[in-house]
Amino acid sequence: MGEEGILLIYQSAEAAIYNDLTALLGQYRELRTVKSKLEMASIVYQNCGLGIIHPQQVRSSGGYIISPSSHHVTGWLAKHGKRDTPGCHFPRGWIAGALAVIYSKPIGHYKVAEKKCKMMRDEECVFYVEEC
Amino acid sequence: MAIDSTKIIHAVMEGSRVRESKGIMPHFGVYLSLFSVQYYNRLSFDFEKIIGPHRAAEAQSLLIKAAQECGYATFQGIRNSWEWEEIIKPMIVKKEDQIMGFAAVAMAFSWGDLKVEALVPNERLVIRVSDSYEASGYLKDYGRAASAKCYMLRGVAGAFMDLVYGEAYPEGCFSFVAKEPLCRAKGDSYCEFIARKSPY
Repeated sequence: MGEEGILLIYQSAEAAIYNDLTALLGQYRELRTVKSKLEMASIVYQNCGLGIIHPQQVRSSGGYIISPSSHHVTGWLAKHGKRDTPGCHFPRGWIAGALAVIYSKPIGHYKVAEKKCKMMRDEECVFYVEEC
Repeated sequence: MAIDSTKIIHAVMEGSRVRESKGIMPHFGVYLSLFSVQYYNRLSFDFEKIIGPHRAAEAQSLLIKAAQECGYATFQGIRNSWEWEEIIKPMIVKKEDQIMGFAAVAMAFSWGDLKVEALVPNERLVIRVSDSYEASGYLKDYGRAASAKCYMLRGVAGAFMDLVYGEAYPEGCFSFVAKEPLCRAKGDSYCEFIARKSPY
């Protein structure tokens, strides 16, 4: 499926976390600031066993997210070994959907590219977020 | 000793609270993750849609095989874990009990309320599920289906038999193949999976 398959993974993750995080933040209305919502998103990511994400200078216009540990990287490397291209399509979609909720934007507002990937044996995964 | 499904489910639920510092959830010999069924359903059902109706059988076969291979490797990991050794193995009296143990772990993973209806050793396994997330998800997002939609559980039913009656891991995968004659997504009152020896 190539790019179409990648897009399916990305958009499926984006839509799922968009719905889930919207519902979750709706229950925790005391989380008012962007900082606290970003922290909540990172905690959710970790608690779901998906790995670790650290937002770096993230603003409503975009920014960087660093992931030093990832469920998907661990699984990919165990089964397939090193890749030549970035492979964290699920985390990219997850980040895009989560940031859209946090900044009260519609789904699809952000696009996320993976600049470095541990599947390629980079030190950490680095995601670059920008507005579409 | 009979398989105590409740004890197994509690053990899995309790253990799944543990997170190591890297945000990975190692439990029962595998890396678990928690995520919305909306994601998995969209992956499967939009995959079918993208592949197109003229290649529907091929798409379904790929999804079932992916689930069977994944179930085969996952439950092999589970069967070799210390948790299995400590909690489930003492309950196992005969070979067939492993399938009951697998079903209990799958229930704890929220894959559905798997009930083993019949098991003929090395021949046939019948599992019923009344709350398959795939059937529920399909009905919710796409309406009544023309064919059975629980590809994941179909693959898993085959994998259970592969692990117990197939050749030693990893040679035994796809020794069995499962069908889903009844599915809630197409209007039946429950989903039923029947795994038999593969003709291939």
